[in-house]
Amino acid sequence: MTSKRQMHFGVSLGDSGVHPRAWRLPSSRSSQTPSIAHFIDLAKTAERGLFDMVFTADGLELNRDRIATEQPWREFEPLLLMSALAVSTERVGLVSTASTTFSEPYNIARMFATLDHISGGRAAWNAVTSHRGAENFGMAEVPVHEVRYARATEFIEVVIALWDSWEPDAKVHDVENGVYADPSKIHEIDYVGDVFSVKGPLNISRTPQGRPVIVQAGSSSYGMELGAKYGEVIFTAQSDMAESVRFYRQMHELAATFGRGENEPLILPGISPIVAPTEAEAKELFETLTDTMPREFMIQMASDALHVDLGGYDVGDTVPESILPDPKEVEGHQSRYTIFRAWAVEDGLTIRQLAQRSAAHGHWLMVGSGEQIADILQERFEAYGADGFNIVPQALPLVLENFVDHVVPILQERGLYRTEYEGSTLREHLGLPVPENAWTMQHA
Amino acid sequence: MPDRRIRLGYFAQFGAGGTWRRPDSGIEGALGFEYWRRIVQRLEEARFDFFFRGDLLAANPSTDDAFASYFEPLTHVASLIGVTESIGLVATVSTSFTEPFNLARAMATIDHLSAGRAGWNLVTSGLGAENFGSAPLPNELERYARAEEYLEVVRDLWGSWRSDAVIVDRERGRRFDASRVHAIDHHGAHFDVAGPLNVARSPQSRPVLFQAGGSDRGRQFAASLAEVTFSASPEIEHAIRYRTDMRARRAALGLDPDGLIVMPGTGAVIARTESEVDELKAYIRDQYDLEAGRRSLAAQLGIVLSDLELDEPIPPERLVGAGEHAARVGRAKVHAVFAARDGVTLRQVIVESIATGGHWQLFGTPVQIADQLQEWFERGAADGFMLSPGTYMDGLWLFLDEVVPILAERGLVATEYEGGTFRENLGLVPIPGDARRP
Repeated sequence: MTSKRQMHFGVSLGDSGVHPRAWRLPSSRSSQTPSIAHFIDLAKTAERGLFDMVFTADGLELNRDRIATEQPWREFEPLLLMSALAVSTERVGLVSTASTTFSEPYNIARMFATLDHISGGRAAWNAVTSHRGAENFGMAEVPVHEVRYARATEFIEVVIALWDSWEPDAKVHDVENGVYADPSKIHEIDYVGDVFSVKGPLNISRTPQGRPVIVQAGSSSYGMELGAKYGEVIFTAQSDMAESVRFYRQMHELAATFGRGENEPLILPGISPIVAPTEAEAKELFETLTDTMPREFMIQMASDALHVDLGGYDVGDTVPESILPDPKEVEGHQSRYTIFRAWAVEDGLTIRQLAQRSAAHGHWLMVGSGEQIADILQERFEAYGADGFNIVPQALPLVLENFVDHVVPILQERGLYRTEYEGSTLREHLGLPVPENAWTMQHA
Repeated sequence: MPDRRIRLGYFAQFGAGGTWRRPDSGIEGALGFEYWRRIVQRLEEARFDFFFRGDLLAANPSTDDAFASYFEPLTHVASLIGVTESIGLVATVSTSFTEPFNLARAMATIDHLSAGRAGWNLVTSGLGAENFGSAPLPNELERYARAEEYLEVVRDLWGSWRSDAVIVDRERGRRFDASRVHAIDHHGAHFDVAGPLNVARSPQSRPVLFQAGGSDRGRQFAASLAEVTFSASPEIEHAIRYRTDMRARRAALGLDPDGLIVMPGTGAVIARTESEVDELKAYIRDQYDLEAGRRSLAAQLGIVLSDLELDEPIPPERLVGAGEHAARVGRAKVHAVFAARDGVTLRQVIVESIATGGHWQLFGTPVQIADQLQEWFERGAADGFMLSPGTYMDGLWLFLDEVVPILAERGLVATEYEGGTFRENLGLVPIPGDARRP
């Protein structure tokens, strides 16, 4: 095993990419009937690129106004998709999103434990609080940040306690004496909080990773605190170097106050790379992608990102600061709004450019050759603005294939990235320790 | 009758009843994927109609039972999609501890990814409330009231996309026809759900619905809403009465009686010779923990049994009304009826309750097993069977290798998957792609 610090990579899976019109590209596989073969192919491509993990974001609602022209990025229930992929892959980690607002901790603990067993230790849970979807769960609107995060904190505590409810050596399998498990090593958790009361134990034994890996993605102050406390991997969205480095340091300082290990959590900003063999080809690809969006659509994209109606403007216009709302008044995706606001106000991006960024889901957009992209990533990585990157691809399978073919080999040549999988579990890929079982620690 | 065929389902076991101790049980692998890949692929070779995952939402670590640790059913069946092509995949999900939007989406996902092979066994759960808050489990009637509304919401969500809403016109940039996707705006006593679902209409429109109601309320629910009913009948006359009753209920509701497939569960114990069968029978009964069984039976029947000798009958006065408040009333009643028979001892009731959970105990050589299945089928006791070979893996392999070919030779089971979807393979009526409540 090499001692040099290595980059980690994840990729968000989906039908045709996060770009709402990428489904129109000839290379997209959008069809009448979505097939598992498409997702298996994507996961295998990620595995060919020795990625740490594949990932699926999620949302629990459908915006009917958009589907006439847009492929919804989030469609299938992500955990079940990951379970279906587990058997067709061997090494790559399987990260699924699940909401703490619209589900029960006992069910979530069980499903991720099952995925961890089925995949031989490759499961991870991206815990989100959800800012949309209330209407499908008997609520007039989603609870405010503070309430959602209070629930999320208890939710994660319960899930961890359930994962710990079987000690590692609880399963005995003593055929001779007919002892399947040692009840003294299986514990009720008796959790009673403000939100949840859960007795436990879980009805599935301790998993290959000890616990599935916990991923967190909120960058608001509540989100950062939750991530610092429980997150082992943090997905974030800074594209500016100074901000990245600041966020990285802040997260580590905050994590230290919760007694976390020195290198925890791992910080993986989202990136939106448009890569091709040459810079010219990459630029051409970027234009092709932009051309899938009609003018009115770009205006709508920018309006949504900035929480304001830009109906009277043209795509070449910039947006005056005076019409933009205060970030504090925006509920949900607060941190993302702040980023778009800065692009509009400080960087003076046009509506067309803002639409391009929005099509990249606000993630760090980079257009260039493999060499150029590798340079950018290396700089950020070595400056401790990132431990790796989560690719949020605008077009699938195109962006992922190009990245694996044109960027990965360069990073490997530079000694920044693995040339083979050294471990078999996601924790091993990420260099994360197997957490000690709370009950075992008590005995010790 | 060339059209009527025995339907075969496999009830997945994680090692109940002590049989995990047998050297061939493979229990060490039951929490790994290879174990299940082998089972499901061999079931598919034998042309089983489906792989079925039951469920409980609690663990009981005080027993020696391997059933304390097992996969979550949806995640489990999803993992089998990629290694199979035609077999139906049925997961049990409780309506008491989940949200209809999540379930509708999960099932639609499995149905899409498997190209139309999903089934949902709807349960209202008799256990597990302690893991979902501080309130006790509602009584049976309330649970069914919630289940009925839950199912309405789920079906409306599945129907919220018409099948012709999907377009994919790259040239003109038209992806979906939004006018063929509608909100459901459900407002009821238990749920408020706006919809539409965020997954397009799935290949079957509605995954096949399973339900296992034994009580009067459960039977009515199954008769009106289910397509397959998984029943507990300890012997053939009970099974005939059950199936006749279910068909009559369907007819009274104006529904085609053939639209409900009645499948009794059975833990078939198979061996090559009769003497091996006897040995197995004895072996299995030796595994039972009679005192644990006594406690469990007492709890199910709601009566005191701790003061009784094992070889005495249960006093008849204690059996009056026994089991009426059980979490699973139908199952408890089966035990109570057996206990009331002349000369039946407490030990026998305990053994029966452990051995069968109220299900049919089927013992025999492959030919004997085939004969009995044929008899049940032809006498109208069953349309098919939910099998859980009492000893695994040997028992399962014997069933697949020896019993299935006998049934096939007799023309009693299909030898190929004829339809494209699970629903078609079961001979169920297809659902129109524009049905608002599929």
